[in-house]
Amino acid sequence: MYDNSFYNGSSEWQLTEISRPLSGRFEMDEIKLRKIWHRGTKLLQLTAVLVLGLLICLPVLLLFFGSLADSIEWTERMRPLLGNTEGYISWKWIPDYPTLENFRELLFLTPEFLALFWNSMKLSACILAGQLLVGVPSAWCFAVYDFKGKNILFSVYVILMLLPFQVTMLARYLVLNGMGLLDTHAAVILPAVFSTFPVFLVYRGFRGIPRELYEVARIDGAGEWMIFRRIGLPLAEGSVMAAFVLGFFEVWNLMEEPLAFLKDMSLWPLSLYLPEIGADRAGRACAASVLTLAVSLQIFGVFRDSLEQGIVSSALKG
Amino acid sequence: MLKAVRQERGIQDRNDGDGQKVRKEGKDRMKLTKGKKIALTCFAAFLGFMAVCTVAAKGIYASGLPQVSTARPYSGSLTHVIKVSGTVMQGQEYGVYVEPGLRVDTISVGKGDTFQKDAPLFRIAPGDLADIIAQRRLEISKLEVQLSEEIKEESRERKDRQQAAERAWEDYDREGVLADAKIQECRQAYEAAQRALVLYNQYLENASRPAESGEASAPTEDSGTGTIPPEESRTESTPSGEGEGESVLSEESGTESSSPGETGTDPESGAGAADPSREADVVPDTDSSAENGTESSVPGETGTDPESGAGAADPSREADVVPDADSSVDNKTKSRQARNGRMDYGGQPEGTGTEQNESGGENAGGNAAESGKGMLHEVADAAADPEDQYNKEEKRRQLEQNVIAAAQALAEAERQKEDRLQTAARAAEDAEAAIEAANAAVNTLALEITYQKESLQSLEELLAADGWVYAQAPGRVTDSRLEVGERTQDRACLLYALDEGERIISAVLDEDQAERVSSGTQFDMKAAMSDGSRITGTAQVDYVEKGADGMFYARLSFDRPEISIGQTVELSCRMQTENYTVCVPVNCIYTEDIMGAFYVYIAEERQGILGTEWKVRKVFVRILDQNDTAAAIQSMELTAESRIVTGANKPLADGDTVRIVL
Repeated sequence: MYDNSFYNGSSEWQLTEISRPLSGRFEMDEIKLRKIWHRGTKLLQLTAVLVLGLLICLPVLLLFFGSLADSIEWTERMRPLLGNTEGYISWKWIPDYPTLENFRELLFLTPEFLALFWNSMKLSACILAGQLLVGVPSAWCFAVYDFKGKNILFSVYVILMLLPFQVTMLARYLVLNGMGLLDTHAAVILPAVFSTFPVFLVYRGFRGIPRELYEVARIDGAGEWMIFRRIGLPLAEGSVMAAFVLGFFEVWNLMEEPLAFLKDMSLWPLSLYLPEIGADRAGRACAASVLTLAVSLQIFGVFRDSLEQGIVSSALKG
Repeated sequence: MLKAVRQERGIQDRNDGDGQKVRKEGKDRMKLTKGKKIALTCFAAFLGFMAVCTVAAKGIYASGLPQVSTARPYSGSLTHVIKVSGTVMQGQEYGVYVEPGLRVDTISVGKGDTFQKDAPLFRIAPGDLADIIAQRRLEISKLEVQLSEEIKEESRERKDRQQAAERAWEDYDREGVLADAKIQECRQAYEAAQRALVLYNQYLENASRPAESGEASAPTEDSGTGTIPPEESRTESTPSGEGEGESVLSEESGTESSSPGETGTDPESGAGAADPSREADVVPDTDSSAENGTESSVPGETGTDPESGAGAADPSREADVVPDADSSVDNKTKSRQARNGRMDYGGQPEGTGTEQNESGGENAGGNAAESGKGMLHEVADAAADPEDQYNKEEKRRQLEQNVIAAAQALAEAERQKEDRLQTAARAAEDAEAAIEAANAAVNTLALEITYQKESLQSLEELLAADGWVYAQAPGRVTDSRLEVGERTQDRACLLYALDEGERIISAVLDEDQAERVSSGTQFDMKAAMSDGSRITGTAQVDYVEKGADGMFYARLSFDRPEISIGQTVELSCRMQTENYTVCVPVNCIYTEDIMGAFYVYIAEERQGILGTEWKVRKVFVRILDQNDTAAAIQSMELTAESRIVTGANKPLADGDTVRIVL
């Protein structure tokens, strides 16, 4: 007989034996069957995950392979859709005539794409820097210090985090218009800097640090800044990086705020460039999507561990 | 503290046999750091690559942009310079004429040749000329013979017409005489009817009076005129009869005025005598008394105004003398009876000649007396039956109707006289007018002969000069229409211009120039003389006309007499147009080949992803005027601030992004 197996974090099921006397050959077969069952279940689960993952990745694969197809092949395959003719569209994963023409046109003949790319980079850098400077200390305050109205204020933070953009858009517009920030990057950066989501995420990380450490540090004579910098930040590094990465993804894909607050097309981020591409240049649109996604993938690749750790630490209590 | 942090982070310091694990963890950590480093390096490389692509893309984009130069439109006028060449030509041409149909023997001058006065121009063949002269003379002779025949014919016809006119006047006179006779006859009948009525009335009075006085005065023959009292009593009783007569005829405005011919009768010879005074009393005429005096019944009187005689027939009087509608008396029967003698009114029978009228006064009086006697007998017979009062009244009515009928006949006769005289007079006048009718054939022949003689004279003069035609004045031949051996035509044989005559400049203009040039336009003129000098002057356009070849020919007059015919001159004129609102350089304007419309490109700032850029837009315009350098255009979209593209280093299309080169 076996105790409940538990997952020890190493993807291995550990069995614990309970002291019972063996019943002989029948019990040996049962053990084998259970092994087979478990392996089969594992295989099935793996297959399901793979299939599901593949389905989720299909659009990305379509974008990638579509970026390698030229305009002729696109027109031929998408004629019923683009040309409003009868019939069904056809698609091949690997194009008959793969080419890097779309990337060449996009990178060397389309300065608009690159201009908007750098706009997105600028917005992302500024917003993330601002969030780190503003949100992390805010989360530290909420996590470490007790002050009057903390719960109410935190509740307000949570409510603000839950409100969609459409609800606060008008208020933001009026404030930004009154401040004269409309049609500038500050109209997008400043509201994002003071976003409540990173505060919430890092707060959970700071809450996971034992209070005793702060007290010990205080006893040792460390100041609040020293405690925050030498104890809080290292220990909540995961949460901070998670907030950073998730914040980047959010900022990189911003559409509503730039569309609402930026009239000058030269200030638009990359997320607003894709709709500008017409249906007759689908290959270029796919190439632009791939390049846009590449940045996110790279950021994810660099900070994946921290992201996972941060999510976990935010989910687990103390 | 750091140790506590390490413990919290799960990092254990193992100094035991787990050192490998520590190293592994360190390696793992190192491995993660490396992976992160690689990822970061890739990300940095990616960003660097994107930066390089950004620079390259912008460079390629900028190098592909057309570089344009722009200008703003301005308001002003355009200057048109017209430069043409002209040729000096003669202003007036003269022609040399000879008779058509002459054979040309020799031509001495040609087109462009100059000649002096009395210089021989060309020669007509003398032999042929002589033949033509002889032929012409023969024609003239024929015409003359024909003319003489026509003249003879004309004189004969003239005599005939004269005779016809005389006869017409004779007819007129005869009509007058006949009409007078008729009138006389009718007048006598009328008087007789009147007299009978008067007598009957007297009888009736006398018949009624015997009942009181016992006297019956029947009319007897002894008295000749029983009911006709002696002259005194007749005269006394006349007023009553006359009054009655007047009652019947008082409305008559007769113009029975007595004429000398009529009054030839003796008043005492008979009651039927036409007494002018009595007639005037019986028939008073207050309206046409002025017309009476000219009544003509005298025979042989010609030239009298028939209208005055015819005036006796007054239509209004005729209208008054209307027979009684109740009368059943047949006037024709009466007149017939009168002619038979029973009721003789003393009228002469119709057809009585003129001779009778001369003594008609006396004869008429005698006849009237006889008719009055006859009537009295009848009256006496009727009075023998005093009981028939009805018959008496009936008889009296009958007599009254007779009077009326006679008056009507008289008026009718006078009217007919008037009509007949008028008709005869017109015929006589027409005959007189025909006497003087000219004979058109004679005049035509006379004119033809005159013309032929003049033509013959010129031919004879030409023959006398041996057929040579000489110049009347010095000049230059501008056109020759002669050919040796051919006959001359009915037009000028040679055209020439006088050396000292008027000269003009003839220039050829195209359609655009012709639109700007009109009568009165001044041109500056330059001409190179034969000695190498150049002279200048002005020329003014007289008119511009379009030739058959579609070109426009201008005629100019100039003021430099030293320039000779045939010389070429340079003409130039600067014309300033009106002020236009929008003027642009002419190289700004493009033409759309398909529709032939004109357009310009204007550069406008547009906001795009790459910031503020200049984009060109096609604007269609209408060209109002243009010269070699500028054009005046019109468009609703152009303003004074518009930047019009004046030049580009690459072909432009609507919506292209450009770079403006200042």
